[in-house]
Amino acid sequence: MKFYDQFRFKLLALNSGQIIRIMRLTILILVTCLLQVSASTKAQKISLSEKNASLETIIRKIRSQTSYYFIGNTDLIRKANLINISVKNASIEDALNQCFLNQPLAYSIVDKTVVIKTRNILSLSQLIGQKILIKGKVTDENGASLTGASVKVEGTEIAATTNQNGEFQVDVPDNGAILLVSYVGYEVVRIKVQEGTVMNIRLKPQLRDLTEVVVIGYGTKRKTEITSSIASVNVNELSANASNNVTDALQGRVAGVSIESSTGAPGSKSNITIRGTGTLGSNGPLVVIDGMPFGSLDGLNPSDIQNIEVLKDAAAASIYGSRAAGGVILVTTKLGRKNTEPKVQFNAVYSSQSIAKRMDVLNGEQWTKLLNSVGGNFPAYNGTNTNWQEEIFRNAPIYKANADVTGGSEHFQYSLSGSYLNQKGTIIKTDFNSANFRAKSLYEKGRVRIGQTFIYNKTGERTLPPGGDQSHSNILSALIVPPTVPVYNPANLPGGWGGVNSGMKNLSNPVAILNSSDYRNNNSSVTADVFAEIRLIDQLKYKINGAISESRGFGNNYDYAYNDGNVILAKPRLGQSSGVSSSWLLEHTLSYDKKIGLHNISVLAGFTAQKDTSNYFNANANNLPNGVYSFGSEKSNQSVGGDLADVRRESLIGRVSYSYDSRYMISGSIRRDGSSKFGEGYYYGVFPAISAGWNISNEKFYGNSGISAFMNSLKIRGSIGLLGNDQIPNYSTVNGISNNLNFATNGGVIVGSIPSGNASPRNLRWEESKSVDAGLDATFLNGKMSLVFDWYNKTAKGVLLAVPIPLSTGISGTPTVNAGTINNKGIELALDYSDAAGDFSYKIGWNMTTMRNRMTAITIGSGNQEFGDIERAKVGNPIGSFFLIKTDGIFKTQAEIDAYKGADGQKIQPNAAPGDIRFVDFDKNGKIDNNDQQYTGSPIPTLETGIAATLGWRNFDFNLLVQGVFGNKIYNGGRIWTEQMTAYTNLSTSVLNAWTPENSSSSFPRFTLADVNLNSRGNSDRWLENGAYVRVKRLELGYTVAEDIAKRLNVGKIRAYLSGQNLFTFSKYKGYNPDLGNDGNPLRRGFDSGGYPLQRIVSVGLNVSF
Amino acid sequence: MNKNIIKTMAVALPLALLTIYGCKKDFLKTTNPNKITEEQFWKTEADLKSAVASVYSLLRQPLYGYWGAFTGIQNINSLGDDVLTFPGGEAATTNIALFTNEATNSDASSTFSSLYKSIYRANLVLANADKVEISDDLRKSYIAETKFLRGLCYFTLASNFGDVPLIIAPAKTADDQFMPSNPVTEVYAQVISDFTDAMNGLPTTRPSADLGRATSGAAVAYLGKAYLYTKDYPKAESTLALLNTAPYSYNLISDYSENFTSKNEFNSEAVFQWVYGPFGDPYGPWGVEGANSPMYNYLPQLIGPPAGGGWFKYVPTNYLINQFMLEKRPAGSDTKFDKRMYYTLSWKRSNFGEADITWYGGTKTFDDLWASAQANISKIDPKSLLDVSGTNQFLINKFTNGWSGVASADNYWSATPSTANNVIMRYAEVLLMHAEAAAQNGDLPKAIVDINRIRVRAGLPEKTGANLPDLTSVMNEISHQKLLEMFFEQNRWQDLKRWYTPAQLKVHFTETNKQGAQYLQPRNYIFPIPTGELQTNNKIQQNPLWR
Repeated sequence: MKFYDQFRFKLLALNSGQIIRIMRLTILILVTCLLQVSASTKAQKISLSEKNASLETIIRKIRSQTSYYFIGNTDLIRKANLINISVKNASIEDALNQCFLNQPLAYSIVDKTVVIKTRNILSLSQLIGQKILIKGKVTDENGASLTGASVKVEGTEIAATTNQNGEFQVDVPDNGAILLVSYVGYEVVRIKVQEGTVMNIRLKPQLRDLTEVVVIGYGTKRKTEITSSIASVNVNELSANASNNVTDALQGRVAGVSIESSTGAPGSKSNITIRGTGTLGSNGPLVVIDGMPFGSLDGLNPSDIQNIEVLKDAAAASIYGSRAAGGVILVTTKLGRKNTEPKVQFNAVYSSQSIAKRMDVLNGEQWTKLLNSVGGNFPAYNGTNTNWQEEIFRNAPIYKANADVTGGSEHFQYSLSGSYLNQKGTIIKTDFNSANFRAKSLYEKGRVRIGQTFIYNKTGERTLPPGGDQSHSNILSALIVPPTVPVYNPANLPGGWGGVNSGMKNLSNPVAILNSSDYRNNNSSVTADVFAEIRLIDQLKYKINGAISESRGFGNNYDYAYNDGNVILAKPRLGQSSGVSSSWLLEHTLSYDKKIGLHNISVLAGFTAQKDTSNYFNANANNLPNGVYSFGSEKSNQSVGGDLADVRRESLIGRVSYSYDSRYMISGSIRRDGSSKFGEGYYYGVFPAISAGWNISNEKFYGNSGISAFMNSLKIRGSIGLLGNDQIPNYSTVNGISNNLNFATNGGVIVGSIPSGNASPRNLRWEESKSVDAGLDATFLNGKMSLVFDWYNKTAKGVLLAVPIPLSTGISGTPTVNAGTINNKGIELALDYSDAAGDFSYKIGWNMTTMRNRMTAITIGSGNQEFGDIERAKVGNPIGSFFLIKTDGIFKTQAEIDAYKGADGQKIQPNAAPGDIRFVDFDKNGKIDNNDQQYTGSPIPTLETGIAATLGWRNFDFNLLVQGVFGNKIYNGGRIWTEQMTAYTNLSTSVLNAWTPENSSSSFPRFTLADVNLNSRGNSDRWLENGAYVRVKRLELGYTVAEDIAKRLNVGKIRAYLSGQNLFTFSKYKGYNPDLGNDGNPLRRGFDSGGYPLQRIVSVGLNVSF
Repeated sequence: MNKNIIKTMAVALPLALLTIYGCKKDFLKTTNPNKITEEQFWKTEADLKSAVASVYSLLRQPLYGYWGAFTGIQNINSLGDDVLTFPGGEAATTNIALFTNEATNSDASSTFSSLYKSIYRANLVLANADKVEISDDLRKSYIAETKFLRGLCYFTLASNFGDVPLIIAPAKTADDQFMPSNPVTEVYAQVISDFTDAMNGLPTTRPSADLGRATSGAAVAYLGKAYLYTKDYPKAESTLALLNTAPYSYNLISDYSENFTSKNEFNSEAVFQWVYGPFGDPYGPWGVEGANSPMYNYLPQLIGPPAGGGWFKYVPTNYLINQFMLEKRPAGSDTKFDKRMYYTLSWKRSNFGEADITWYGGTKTFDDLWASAQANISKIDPKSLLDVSGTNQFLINKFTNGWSGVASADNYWSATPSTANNVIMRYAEVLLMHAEAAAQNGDLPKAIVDINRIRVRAGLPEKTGANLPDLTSVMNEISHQKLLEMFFEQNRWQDLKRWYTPAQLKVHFTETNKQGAQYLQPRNYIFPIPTGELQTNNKIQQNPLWR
């Protein structure tokens, strides 16, 4: 919404003494654009001669000749027909009358202000034929009436405006007429008239409205004046009610934002990557919740979110300098509106989760038969056929409820909310629960604004314990423990668990481990933020923002005594850990906004300081008596450990933005950051950024051109800037002493200590990421379609990384060094289209990101231009690229093996036998060794895309999100265990097709325990798979109970919905799911080591508001 | 006026607050509250003793490294002709046993990196010992002890990896962290230098509480071993001979088995050993260095038969059994066979006309043990490598807990994990090395004296010059005795490498049914430089045999 408004300086100045007070002539203000001229005395007569001019142009001209001011809705003004006018020395009324002839608009003059509005009642002479009186009511999405909404009959100039109760009446020519209902900030509804009833028309908030306001770092800005790359996600897009966490709700919705669930474990976190992996260390974005930069999206209830802005380029993020290299996510939580009654919303969801996929492994009969045919010496199949996957997986429910109350008076707005989530895991003995409370308020009066946000979060979980042996997670164990092993065996005491027999590989019974290992974490956190803003002079504001955060956690890992045939734990053991971490933040900012004519300038300067401390300890003991659950009793092998950390940052920030007439915008920011993580003398980094934009559609020539009818608005923008990263371990540059390097003599243990030697260089510096962005924003077809396009090029220099050092140095651990340069570039595209036809309204959004990641330089001490093993950082390749020996089919005959020779005539694979894999001798040295590892693909997708559709039909709404990832590879580390055939474990059913002389066409290698040809070698592309997938991420169908029924039940609104998450995944990947997560280590990305599979969730929910 | 106040406030308030923080110049300065730093170390004797302990730490770790039950001990022993391992266990071990290992082999990498970690620590001690306030004698002793350990590391590297980087000082600059390999001869020269310094600086005996720390006798034994491995027989002979006279008082103990159990530790035969004891968390052997890392001996877990709770990873070869059976004791002796065989192996005694015995506290007969071992033994491929027909059924008893009198004692999850020390240099080995050196120097009678000490303890009659008239026959007897005496003590493979060319060894292995004989190549005499080193160090090149 855009108003042309004006202030009467002289008059106001007189009224308010020496202080110049600014008063606005608007009621519903989301944002204002102030265009003003100095109040000089001018003749009040108007001379104009224009052909096919826009009303906007005319208004500018009239303003320049008179002291009249105009107020009105921009969208309305844009809808005006082109004007032909020729007057000389005319009065304003005469001129305007000419202008408003045949316009769907009317004007009135109040004092010296011209108010432009929709023409309410048209003269009877303009109506043709039969008239039908239609009555209706317009409400917002929550059922609150909307005053001043515009109702127009399509194809005519018949229009009406709603009254204080949101009601309207309008005469239409026939019962086939279509009403167009519009309201600022809401989507236009196109609906067929209904005779005889009161039409209830519900408007939905407009999503990508160019007039909306966008939260930027330390302030807000009108979207039209944004010159950097910022993506906004409105709460209504999130399907928040049915989502268990925020990141899950965001996945696939924002171009350039890649979200990977770390595991399917209940309560697990997701990893967010904005515009590619720019660093080798921690790459997550900085999350700022209501001004608190120590937030994590994990502790937040999705229903509490009003909107999320993703600051993608340096110009947007660099005001957050230090930790913004991975981008910034700004979250604004909900707040009530001014002058609204308290409104209560209640939401309850029940979900059922399941693991959609099962691996095909041998059953007991197949296993016994196969393994005995290849040298096993196992008893004949006796009917024991344990399906270990079914033993550990289950269908599990989620219960979730949340409620909030919002409201506000003239000076005070508030919101209170609470939520509870109880999620059982899809693996037995795992669960998660969380309770949340949030309070937010804003007081605004005169010169002062005071606001606060308070969030309390409490979680409890029982986690998946580590597998009972060294190399297998419990999920992998479930795939490879032979099916002839029973779950229970009363003879194995304590516990009575079934165990592997001799001859089988030593493996733990996963059911035994899951039941016997009770690993729980309980955490609570409080974050609170208070700010006060005082308008000092003019638009000079001082703001102080203080925030604190404190989290406390307690971990309790208890192992009951058990015997699963592999592990015998005779007596229970206990490990406990406890920690508290706290942070404070203090920010002072001064901001100044000034409009001089068409010039608009705003300046921000500030100082921030932050301190994060944590203190943690743990204790362990063995041999507790059965039935004792604390350290309070007899025990042995006790140990304790602990850690303290104290990290401080201080920063100076500054930003200047200038725009002219909403046409030309330029903005520059700078932040000087100091971080205690670096050594003395290297604390500080300076992070500047500059951006500029041009609203071409605000130019006169554009409005007059033919394009404007098709492309309603167009903005181009560009930015360049620097971001920083200090995410290195604390105290990295100090060489500490490593302890407990112990030795024993006849006299007992001698505690060993030595300087660790793994300190980082003293001159370790900030990692700096330079980001260039060029983009355009456009809307088409009267705002039905919008387009956002961005090209970006991001180069991180001095990337902080713990680079592996030679084994021969003898140093344990790795020093962090400024290791190299990484480049990410790509394009992002977001296209939205919304329209309505009859009862049917829809909106389709498509977003897409391409990404090209390259390591462009490596600057580690050795001069090596690559490091890593099967996943490497190598100049010219994406980080974490897979370097593997390529396979080339199966040797069918000895002749083929003999013929496979190197340059010197020697056999390349002398140990091979028919049925073994042929490997490619990449370095042509006549041998297969690790030098034959070659580039075989990258774990980083080159294209990510999402399609979101929202459809509304009468009381039904439908929501669909499809998400796709392409161009990446996954190393299936779990499959090695089920296909390598080098131990007596259970195996994939694909081994039934293994090569034999009789089955010589098979592409699956022969069964060989000794495996002298190394068919199972980990560094071959046998285990590498295509990681592309397309997933129906979310499908939701909602039904809103008719308003009159709801009213009868004494509630405002009732909506019931059915929702499905991760319903279908289309992928060639053979593991449980291709969405592997990303544990933050780029040299482990795309490596599937058998984590908690992602679940499919089906939910039913009910949403009630009153 | 009102306006002025506000104006003043507008400027003053933020400025004041800015100043408050601006003044805190040290706001960003933090120190590590968790650890003392290098600057605070190297002050007292306690620091020095603790630093030297850290050099020992990784060498004596129970599962990983060259003397680790899970890696080095398995690997080095599996290469000989005296045991077979089962495919279908750990691929890294199987590949070494079959000579199909590559630079990616994780076991060899574990050995390589453990040794270099100890070398790094030793170099730090040697570079900083002067800073410690301590008497010169004591300082000298610590330096000698450290040099012994560094010599032991490089000796192990040279004999197993050939050319390796020779690093004898802590890296000063980042560039120093990337070192090329030195020729193996240079590495051995450093080994000899370190052992010589150690020999001269170490005490000959230690007080009771310090038993287990290096002594000059240990340095002498290893110096002699290094001379022997570099075929400097005169120096080997003269060096090893030192241990036969004062101030040393080494001797063979009468009961052979007590070298391997916790019954008679720190006896006169133990020249150098890793000390194990009931310390730490027995359930945590896979973690390496921690406050609660276990100090137990895990060999029984890997060697013992399943019926005793072990993982049973080896079976003796028919060749070893034949060698034991080759020479029976004289009629009228208390046992039919070589006395060492009764501890080294288990078998059904009644098959050979002796009374059956039981193991594990009387709970297990040989049939029980054998039955439990069947599933693993059947994995041997091809089956022709091991003949278990008729009375050919033998299992390894050495290093297991069969003697302990406890059921299921091999399992580390049991209440009584083994605390037996692992004696890595026995006086018996010194004698056999001395015999070899003397024989090679042409002094056959001297060699026969040593051989006879070994034979007599084994319950065998002495040999004379008539029985062993020439170098070949003496060397054959040394080889034979060493095979039986030092079975599973990481010596057989190193000896075979010295005594056979690769081509000869391939023939010998084929004849003795050593698994993987057909895959043996000259390069298998050493391990390749691990990929973990090659990928991080651009100055190093793979050893020529492996290129």
